[in-house]
Amino acid sequence: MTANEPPAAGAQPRFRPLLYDLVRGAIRFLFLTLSHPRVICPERCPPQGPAILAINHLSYFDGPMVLAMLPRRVRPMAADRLRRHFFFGPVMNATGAVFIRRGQLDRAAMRALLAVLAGGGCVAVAIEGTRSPDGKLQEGKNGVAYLAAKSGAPLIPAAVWGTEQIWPAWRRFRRAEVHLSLGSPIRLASQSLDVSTLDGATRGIMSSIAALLPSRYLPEARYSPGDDKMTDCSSHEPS
Amino acid sequence: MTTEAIIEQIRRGLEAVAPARAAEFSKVKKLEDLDSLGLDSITTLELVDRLEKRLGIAFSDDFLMEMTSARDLVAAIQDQVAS
Repeated sequence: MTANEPPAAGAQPRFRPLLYDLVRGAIRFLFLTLSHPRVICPERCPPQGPAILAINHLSYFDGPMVLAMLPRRVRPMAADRLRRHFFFGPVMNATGAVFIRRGQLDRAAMRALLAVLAGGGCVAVAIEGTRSPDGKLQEGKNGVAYLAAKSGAPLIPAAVWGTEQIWPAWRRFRRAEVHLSLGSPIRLASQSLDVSTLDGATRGIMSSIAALLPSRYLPEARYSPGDDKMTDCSSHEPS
Repeated sequence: MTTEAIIEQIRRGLEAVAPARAAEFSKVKKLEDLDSLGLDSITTLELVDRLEKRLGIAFSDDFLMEMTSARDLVAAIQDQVAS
């Protein structure tokens, strides 16, 4: 391979709205049957137009939870190795996930995410880059801020918790309490792509996510919990 | 284009992408110095975009995915500038 070969054709799954809606309906049914989901402030996700959901990541169930519970179509970004997972692979493919190869310079995936945003879509990205190994909020990576700066799309901080208890609860024939809480949309003050600006934006997004999470999910040294008051929006158990 | 000239272009690109580290980048003289900078993927992505615009070249996505060192990048730039 040489550097000036033409770009490879994108290997991302094609987005099929009808298939997405079918799979979303099935996942939603499973969540409602096998867990107790609660969505806080869903109206903070704009119903249309480009948007980036920046979520924390505790479990493989986080992506499906976001897809199933938000009132609009959301394209998740997923690690490329999930493509071949026996359950999540077909789910991610059917919902038009954008697969990214971690640890490599995957410009094609970044371009695919920007194309979704340019088309007025909503993408969900795990800002920590991977699942938390200890259940605590990790440091954020700059990819989400980079996407926001490149696209100009608003960022919606989103906290998911309880999903790490879904599987342990099932094994005890119980249903886990799972939560998805959305923060107020953030528009970056600057679209500058320099690292210092992106670092600052990422810290701001992480603080917003931390403010949505219960304190047991926060590493004490980095974040203080609970300063995003949710008196101006709804909280409900989907049906 | 010589290796030194390309390193200079990369150094300038890095100073634009991460101005807070300009003093560190000013010490870059050799390929090995670039590899030891520990750049994250977003910084490298933005650097590559800027190099493409500045030098009028285009890297394939496959090449970027496989690139593992500054030596690969410099060789690719030399290859493209020469062709």
